[in-house]
Amino acid sequence: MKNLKILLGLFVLSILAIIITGVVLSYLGIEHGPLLIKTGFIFIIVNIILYLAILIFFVVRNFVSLYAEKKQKVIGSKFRTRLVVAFVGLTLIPSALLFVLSNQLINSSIDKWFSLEVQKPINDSMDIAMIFYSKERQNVLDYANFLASNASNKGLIDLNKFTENAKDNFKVYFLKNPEKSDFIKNVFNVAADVEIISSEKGDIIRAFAPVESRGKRSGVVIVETLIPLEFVTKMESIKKAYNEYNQIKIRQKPIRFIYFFMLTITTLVIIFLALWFSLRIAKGMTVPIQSLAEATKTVAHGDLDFRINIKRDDEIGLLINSFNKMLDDLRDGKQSIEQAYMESDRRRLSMEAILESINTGVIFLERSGNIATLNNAACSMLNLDRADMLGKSYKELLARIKSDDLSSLDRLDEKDFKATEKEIHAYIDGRPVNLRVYITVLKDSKGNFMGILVVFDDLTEIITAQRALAWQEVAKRITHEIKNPLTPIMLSTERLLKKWNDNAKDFGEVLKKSTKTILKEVGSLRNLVDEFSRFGKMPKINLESTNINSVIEEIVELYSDLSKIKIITLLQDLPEIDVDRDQLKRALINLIDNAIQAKTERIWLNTSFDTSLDSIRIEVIDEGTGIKEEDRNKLFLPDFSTKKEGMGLGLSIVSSIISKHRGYIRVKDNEPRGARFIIEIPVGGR
Amino acid sequence: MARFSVFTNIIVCCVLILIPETALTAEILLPEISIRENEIIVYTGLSNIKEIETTIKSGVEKEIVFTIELFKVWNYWPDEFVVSKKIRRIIKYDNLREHYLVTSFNGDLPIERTFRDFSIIKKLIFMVYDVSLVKVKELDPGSYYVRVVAESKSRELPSVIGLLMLFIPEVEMSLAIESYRFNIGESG
Repeated sequence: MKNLKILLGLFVLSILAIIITGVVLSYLGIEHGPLLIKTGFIFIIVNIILYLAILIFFVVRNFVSLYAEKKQKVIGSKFRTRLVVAFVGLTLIPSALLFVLSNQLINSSIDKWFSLEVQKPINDSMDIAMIFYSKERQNVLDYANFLASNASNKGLIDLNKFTENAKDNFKVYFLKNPEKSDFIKNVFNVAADVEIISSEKGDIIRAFAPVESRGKRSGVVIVETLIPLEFVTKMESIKKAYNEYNQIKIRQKPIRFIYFFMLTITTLVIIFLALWFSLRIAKGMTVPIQSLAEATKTVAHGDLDFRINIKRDDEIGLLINSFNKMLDDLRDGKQSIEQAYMESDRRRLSMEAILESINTGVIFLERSGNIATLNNAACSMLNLDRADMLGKSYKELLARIKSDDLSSLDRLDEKDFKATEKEIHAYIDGRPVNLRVYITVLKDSKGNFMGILVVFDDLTEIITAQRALAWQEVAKRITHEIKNPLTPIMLSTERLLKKWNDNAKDFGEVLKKSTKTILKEVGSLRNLVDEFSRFGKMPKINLESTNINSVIEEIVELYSDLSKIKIITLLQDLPEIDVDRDQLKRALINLIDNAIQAKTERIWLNTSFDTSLDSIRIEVIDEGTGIKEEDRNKLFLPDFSTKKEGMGLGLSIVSSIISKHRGYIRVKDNEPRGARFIIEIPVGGR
Repeated sequence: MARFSVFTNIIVCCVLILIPETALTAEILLPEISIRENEIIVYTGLSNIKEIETTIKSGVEKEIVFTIELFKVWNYWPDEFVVSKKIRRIIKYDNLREHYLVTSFNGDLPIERTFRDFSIIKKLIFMVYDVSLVKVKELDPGSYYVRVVAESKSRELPSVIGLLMLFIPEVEMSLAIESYRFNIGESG
C-alpha cells in the first residue's frame, strides 16, 4: 500500500513535471539549441525544483511538528531540537557562506566578461575591420569617380574595353547600357555608389560612377577590387566575435539571473537535503530513545508485556534488544515471584490455619521485638486481644503476664538470645496458670537473625490432672497400708481363737504375743489415720485478715530454743491479706522442718510485697543439701518423698494449702547451696 | 557591502523574471481596422524602437514577428478565436559591408533583400501595412476585435555559458494590444 502510494506520487509528479516542462518550453521557445537536449535539460531542472519543493515541504513540516512536540513537552523533543538546531547551524552557516562567495565569484566573473579590458579589444578589432572595409570602399569609389570625370575627354581609359589598371589591382569597366540592374540604374541616374559582393574568392568591392559627356550621361564606370578570402575570413571572425559579444552583453542580466538561479537551487538542494538527513538522523536517534522512555513509563505502570518494535542493527538496536530482553526477564521474574508469592501465601494460610487450630500458643517476635504473629491459642491462654497486641513490643506482653519467671526474658529482641525452655507460673488477670515455654531464635539460611519464636503450652490442667492422679495413688497406697496391718491382726485374732477353742497350754503366751502384734498394728493404723486425717482436714481453711509478718514472727518464736539452727528474718512491710493463719503457719513449719532435716545451719525467712504482681512473696531459704534437678517437678506431688520414712505428703500438703490461698509455690537452687522455696500469694480478693 | 550586492542581485533578478520587457521601451501601435473589398484589413506596427535599432546596428540578428488574431466577442463566455495571421521578418546588419539583410516570408518561402538605409527597413520590418485578415462574408455577424502580438527574438545564441543559455527566453520582447471592437453583419 505504501509502495503504491509512492508510485502514485511519483507518477503524479512526473505528469506535473511534463506539464511544467511544456509551459517552460513554451515560454523559453524551442527554436534555439537542440530540442531534445533542451527538453531533457529543462525536464531535469523542473524535476529538481519539484522534488526540492517537496523536500522543503517535508522539512518545514518536520520543523513545525518538532516545534509542536517541544511545546507539548513530548519525551525526546528537547534532545531532538538540540540535535536539529546543531545540524541546522552546521548546514546553514557553511552553505550560506558558500552561496555568498559563489555568487560574488560569478558576478565578478560576469563583470569581467563585460569589463573594458575585454570589450575594448573586441570593439577595436571590429573598428579596424570596419575602417579597412570603409577605406577600401572609399578608395574604389574615389577611383571610379576619378575615371568617370576624366573618362571621355582625357582618354585615361579606353572605353568599352576592359582594362586592368595596375593601380591597387583594380579592375575597371565601362558600361554604356546601365539598365543591367536596379543598383546600376540608380547610380546612372543619381550618383556614384559602392557595393560589396561576397564571392568564393573573397569580397568584391565594386564602385559605380556615372560618366557625363557633353552634359549627358553616357555610361557608368565600374571599378572593382577583391579582398582575398583569407582576409575576409579573418574579418568575419572578428565580426562574429563582436556580434556574439554584443548578444551576450544584451543578455547580461538574464545570464546573471540564470547563474544566480542555478546557484540558489543548488544551495537550496544542498541545505534542505542536509536538513532532511539531519532530521532523519535526529529522528533515528531520538525515536528509539523516545520509544525507550515511553516503554519505561509503560513498564513503570506495570505493563511488562510492552515491547519496542524497532528493528535496527546498530548500537541503538542493541540497546532496544537488551531492553526488550530485560522486559522478558522482568516478566519471567515477576511471574516466578507471583508464583512463589502464591505458593508462599498458600503455605502461610496453611501455617496460619495450623497455628489457629492447635492448642499450643505461638507468638512470633520480629527483630525489633514487636509481636508479628499471635495465634488463637496464645490469645486464649494469655487472655489477649490479637488486634490490640499485634505490632506492640513484647515488653507490653510481659507486663500483662504477672510472673517472676519472666524476669530473665527482658532481652528477647537481641540476636544473641539463647534458645530456652522453661516452666513458668504466672497470673493472667489474677488467674494462676502454669505454662511450659519454648523460646527459639529464628535465623535464615545465612544465619541472619530473623526474630524470636515463643511457643507455650498451658500446663495448669495437666498439673491438676497429675495431682488428681497422685491422689488416687495415695488412696491406693493408704488402702494398701491399711490392709497390711489388718492381715497380722486377723491372723493373730484367728490364732487366739483357735488356741482358746483348743484350750492350748500356751494360750497365755500366744495371747501375749498376739495382743502385742495387734496393738502394734493398730498403732500403725492410728498413725496412718492420723496422718491422713491431717491431710484430709486441708480444704477447710478459715480465712482471716492477717499480717503474714506476724505469722513469721510466731514461727520464729517456736524455733527460738533451737541452738544449732539460726533463723534469720528479712521482713518488709506487707499489706494484710485474708489467709488461714494456722494452715499457713503449718505450711511454713513444714518447710522449716524440711530445711532442718536437710541439715542447714541457717534459715532465712523473707517477706516482700510485689506491687507489679500485687502479691506477697514469702521465701524460705536454707543452706542444706538442696533439691535435685530431676526431683523438682515431682516435689509437690503426693506420694513423693526423698526420705525413707516419709509418706510424701508434706510438700504436697504445703502446695495444697498455698493453692487454696490462690498462691503458688516453687523451688529454686540457692547460691551457693541449699534450696529456696518461694511462695507467692495474691493480695487481691478471692 | 557584499550582502547588499547579493540582495541587489536578487531583487534585480526577480524584477527581470516578472517584467523582462521593462528593458525595452518599444510600443505597439493600436491596430487600425478597415474593411475593403469585403476583407478585413489591419494596419499596425511598432514605435519607439530605438533600443531595438541599436541592438540591430550592433550586428545582432533579430526576428520580428507580428501575430494578428481575430476574435469574436461573446457575452458570458470567453471570446472566440476566429483566425490569425503571422508576419515574420528577420533582419541582420552586416557591420563590415554596411548593409542590412532583410528576410521576409511569403508563406514558408523566404525572400531576402539587402538594404543600406535603415529608414527604409524601419517601415519594412516594424510596420504592418494592409494585412488582409479574413473575408467578411466568411464571418458570422457579431462584434469582433483584433489582437496584435509583436515579438522580438534573437536568432541563434552564442554558447558562451553552455547549456545554461537554453534557459534564456528566446523572445526578448512581447507586446500585445487589442483593437477597438467592430461589428460585422446585421449588428454592424
